[in-house]
Amino acid sequence: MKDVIIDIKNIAKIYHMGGEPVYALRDVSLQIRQNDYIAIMGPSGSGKSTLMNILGCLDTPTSGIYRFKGEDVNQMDDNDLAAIRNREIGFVFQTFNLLPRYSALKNVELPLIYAGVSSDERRKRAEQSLTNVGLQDRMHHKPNELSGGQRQRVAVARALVTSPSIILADEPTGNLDTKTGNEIMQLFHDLWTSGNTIILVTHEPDIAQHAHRILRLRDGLVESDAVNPNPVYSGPSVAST
Amino acid sequence: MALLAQAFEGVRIAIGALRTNLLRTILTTLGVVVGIFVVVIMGWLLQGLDKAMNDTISLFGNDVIYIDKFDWSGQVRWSEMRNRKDITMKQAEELQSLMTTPQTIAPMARQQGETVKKEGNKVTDIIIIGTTSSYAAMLGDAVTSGRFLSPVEDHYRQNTAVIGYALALSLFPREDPLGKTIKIKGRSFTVVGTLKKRATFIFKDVDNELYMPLRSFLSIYGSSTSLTIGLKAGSEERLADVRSEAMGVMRNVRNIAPDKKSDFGMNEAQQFRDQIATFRLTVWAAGIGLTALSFIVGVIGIVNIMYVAVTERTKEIGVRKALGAPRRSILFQFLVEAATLCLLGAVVALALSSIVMISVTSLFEWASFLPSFVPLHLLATATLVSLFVGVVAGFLPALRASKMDPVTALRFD
Ligand SMILES: Nc1ncnc2c1ncn2[C@@H]1O[C@H](COP(=O)(O)OP(=O)(O)O)[C@@H](O)[C@H]1O
Ligand SMILES: [Mg+2]
Repeated sequence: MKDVIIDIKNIAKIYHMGGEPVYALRDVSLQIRQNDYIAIMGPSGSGKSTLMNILGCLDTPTSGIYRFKGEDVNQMDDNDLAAIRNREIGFVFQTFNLLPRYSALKNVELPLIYAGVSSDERRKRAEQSLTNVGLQDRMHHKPNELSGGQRQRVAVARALVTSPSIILADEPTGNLDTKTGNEIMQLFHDLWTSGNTIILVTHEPDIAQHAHRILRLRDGLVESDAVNPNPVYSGPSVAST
Repeated sequence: MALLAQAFEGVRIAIGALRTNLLRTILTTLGVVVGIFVVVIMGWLLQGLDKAMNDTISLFGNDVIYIDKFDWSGQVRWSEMRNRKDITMKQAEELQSLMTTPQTIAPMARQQGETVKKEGNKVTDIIIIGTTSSYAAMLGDAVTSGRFLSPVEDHYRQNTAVIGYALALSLFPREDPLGKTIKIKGRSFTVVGTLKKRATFIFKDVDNELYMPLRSFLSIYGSSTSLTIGLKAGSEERLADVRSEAMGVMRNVRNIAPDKKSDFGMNEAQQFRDQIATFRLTVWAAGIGLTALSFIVGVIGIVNIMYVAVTERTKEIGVRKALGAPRRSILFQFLVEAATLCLLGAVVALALSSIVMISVTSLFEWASFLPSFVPLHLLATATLVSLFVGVVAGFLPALRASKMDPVTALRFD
């Protein structure tokens, strides 16, 4: 069996809206192992983003246990969580979330600044990471000089630059057309092939079919969690051609 | 290392923000600019005043006591001093023979508003001082050409003169004054020496002085003038001894009963320190008031612009946090940004004050006692003050940024 990276048990997240409790997550348990490729599915409001924020240590659960590589995340303070996010987790967002004033290269370097990497080393690793996603010719472009697909590639390069244990992608194709979305999915496939662990949050069944395991949420509960017998593979990615 | 990279980044962000919101930045940093400007100008004035004071003290000599009918400190009423008996030549001679502690004793007589003539040239408003050769000790190295009055000239009441810098220049703009003849009250005098430029901000007239032997003076102006007696101690340490001896001897010479107040002044250069100190305080108070006011405005401006910057960049803060920025990095980033804004304000203020300093010192003669450039310690002060203001003003906005919840911040549009 491969190593367990994420282990959550009976996670609940309750928000309070004007005194009324909102159960974003009621009782979710889940294990994620090295080199898993899991899609978290569910209708809007089912708790996907909440779960992903908790898994990504951006947020903490109201109750339940969360162990990341065996360590109790609930015991960690703000700075510990920031360190985990920096070293162990690579985020890819629906809206890319690149800093508009920075070039692609600077955007990719950003996590390395917080990791305390020297400037020469930062540059080298960011260039390598951008090359890996096929953007070696676009390093000095600002986000507004790039297409949507290219921006999401920069975001993937940024997520990968610290060599994290897990890639967390929340609706990564939500703002892209089908063709570009598929290219990003090919990129994820390549990442999985080279050993990465991927958590993909989506409400689109077509996109979820790329994953090797599909977990369905409904009203803050796990509806189903099963292996995908026939993951979609739509050909080699642009990056590797 | 990481901190340095983050500091550079903060500076770059601040400059970028400044460029995109030029007008807003100028308006909000105005308070800091004015504040630093006032600090620098105030420091500049104080430095000039200190120099004027030290020049004045060394002009009078920091080891010299002047016994005079009048007290120069302004602490004794004029009406009281005016009715005092004159200090006579006889008293001066008696004092001279009785005192043992001073290095040199020189009696002086003084006449203001005199006219000095030369063939085809005439200078008015000259101060004539009659004194002895001993006075040379009090002039120190002020005699630049020729020599000071000699004992022989004094004794034989010869008509020789030593003239101040400005007087020499007005009388002899193109010739060497030495050996030339000048006329005072119809009598001919030979110039035997000239003095260097000695005027200070407080004593502008000293370069229009003319020194002649005391006996020559008395024969022109009569012996009814009250004398001043200069006592040079030789060093500041010996000043106290000279002071107490002079007090005793002079009271004796002037027959003052033990229960009566002295009817003469004992004046020292240090007294000018007190007078200037008052002026200094006025500059300080005005400067501090203005500075405090403009810094309050400045801090409010910076606090405001930083709160706006933090709000505008909520999303960015969320992204940075998601990528692993700890609280202290976010805090530091915004502190650096605020400090950079203030530092830019300081640069503007330093440029403005340099323009003022160069203009004032080159346009106005009276301003020659002031430095004509920004003194180094003021440069350092301005820099430190602006950094401090930046950090203070940036702290609360930066703290708010650092404490933002990453999920909420990421959702911000
Ligand atoms: N910060 C919040 N405050 C209050 N309610 C929230 C907050 N975040 C999410 N919710 C609620 O929690 C539920 C789950 O939201 P979310 O995890 O965003 O679902 P999904 O990503 O599947 O659309 C929704 O009902 C949503 O309104
Ligand atoms: Mg969502």
